[in-house]
Amino acid sequence: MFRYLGIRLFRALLSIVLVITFTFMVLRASGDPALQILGPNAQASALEAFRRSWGLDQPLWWQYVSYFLAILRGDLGRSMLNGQSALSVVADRIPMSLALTVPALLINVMLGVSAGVFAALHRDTVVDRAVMMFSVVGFTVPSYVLALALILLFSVEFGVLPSGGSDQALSFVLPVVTLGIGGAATLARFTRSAMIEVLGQLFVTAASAKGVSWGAVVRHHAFKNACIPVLTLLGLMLGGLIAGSVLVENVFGWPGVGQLLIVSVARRDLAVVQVILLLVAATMTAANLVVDILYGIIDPRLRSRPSARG
Amino acid sequence: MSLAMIGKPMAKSDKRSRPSLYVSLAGAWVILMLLTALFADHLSPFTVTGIDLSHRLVPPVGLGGSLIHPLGTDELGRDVASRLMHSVQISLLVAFGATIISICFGTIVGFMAAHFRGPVEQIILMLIDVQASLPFLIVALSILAFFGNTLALFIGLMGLYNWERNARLARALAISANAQGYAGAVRQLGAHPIRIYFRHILPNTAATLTVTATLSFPEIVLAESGLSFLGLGVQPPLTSLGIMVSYGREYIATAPWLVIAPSLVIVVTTLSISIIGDWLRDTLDPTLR
Repeated sequence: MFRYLGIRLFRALLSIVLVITFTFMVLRASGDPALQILGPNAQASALEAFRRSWGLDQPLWWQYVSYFLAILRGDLGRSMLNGQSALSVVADRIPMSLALTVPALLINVMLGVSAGVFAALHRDTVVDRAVMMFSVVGFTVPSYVLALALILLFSVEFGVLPSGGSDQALSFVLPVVTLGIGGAATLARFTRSAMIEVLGQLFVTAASAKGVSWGAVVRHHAFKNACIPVLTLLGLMLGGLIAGSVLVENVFGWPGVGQLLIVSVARRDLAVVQVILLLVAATMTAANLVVDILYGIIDPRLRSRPSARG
Repeated sequence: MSLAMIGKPMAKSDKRSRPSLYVSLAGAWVILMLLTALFADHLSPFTVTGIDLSHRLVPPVGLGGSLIHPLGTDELGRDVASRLMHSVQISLLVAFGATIISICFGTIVGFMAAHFRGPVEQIILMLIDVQASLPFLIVALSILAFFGNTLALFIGLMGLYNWERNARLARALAISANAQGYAGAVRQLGAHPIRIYFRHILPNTAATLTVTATLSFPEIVLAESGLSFLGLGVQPPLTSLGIMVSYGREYIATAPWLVIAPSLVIVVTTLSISIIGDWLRDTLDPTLR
């Protein structure tokens, strides 16, 4: 188990290092920072002074090392807009995003997993067809179209819910519902096919044949095995908690991390973009790590085979 | 984003024989869209930027509009039907370009991993893992922030979509092909690796690769429309389906057709291509789940 964990941890750290390297390369490849910040009309001496003060006259490998050390110190640069620390600009928005994504994730899991299991157990019935229809719609209707449809229905037609902003008590309802439906649809489809596959396995037949009640077979034998592929998907969803709602935040004008990312991209506020990228990479990696550990707990076979997955 | 690889689970019935009604309808819609994209310049009665301020926000036929503007006009009096045709053209152009880049790049990288094995393969697998752990939308937005945006760059960027999935698949296919007799035989005859991979292994794995390309096509359409919706994808004066939805949302209370028309095209098109992708998969390569 410890060997398994060690390898997982090493790979997680390695991917973070790779992402940092990637941002460093992109940052350097996107042009001369001195020119970008001081503008094309800056004097040569000013450019030179800027380069020296930011260490841009150092060899590239040293720049890379100092970039790395700065990140480790938590020094991620300042927002070009107001000179605030980029990290705190992003950190301010995180609670707002979590206020949408955490309830949405709960809806995803409760609605998606139960619908998927139910559909698998009642295969080829009306309920199954309805669940499948729901999940196909969830895949083909982009989140922003769904969001606009909900606005059209509940804000414009019925006028019962606010269409955007975050200042009213009910403002969060439509964004959470949008995120909840989209994720639940995907999860339902995935859970259904995982369950169907497991239910067709011999050990399920064997368990029923030796007289275990159907409920116990479903709960202990089938569902636990179907959990493994579903967990992979949940890991991705968990990783999207911070910045997985870019489009929905944009439609509803919700001041979260996603909205900040769009604004920063449009203004080319590179420090903020970089912080969000690193933050997302870190969340994703952490989520994957948690999922990997859960795999190990649920499925003892995986502990001894570190390369096997899902 | 790699979630949508979960193809629609199909009933194991007569999918192999002839296309069902759904598949035929989906095929008809896709052909209609392709024709629209090819002949948009000749079909559309108005230009994309043809402003007519005296006919602003005219509703579509059936809601009080006239046949001159069958789908109504927008806030600047531009013909919605004409803009829709050009949007389909641009959106499909981006999606086709991106799919081709993604499948070519992924295949080459995957074949390289299968050929060299050892450290090269480990590095490629590591890159694949990193890419798979980052949401495409975030990566795309970051790259756009750093490099700015042109149509060519945007298509290239969209070409990164799913490359890791294609690479992983191509690697697995090439490894199993290498273990088969035909690849070994050609190698014994002294053929160059490039010849083995592209003249012998590629044709034998093309069916599977085509199916994955078709299955990821609708995802690319959705990703493109999402970025364009945010105003960070295709740039005006060019128009795309995402841009039309984005512009229309300001008038959602007074002129909902501006949002509904492009939204429907996005949904029906992605749905149709997914249906065809599923059908292709079940017909050509049932092993792909």
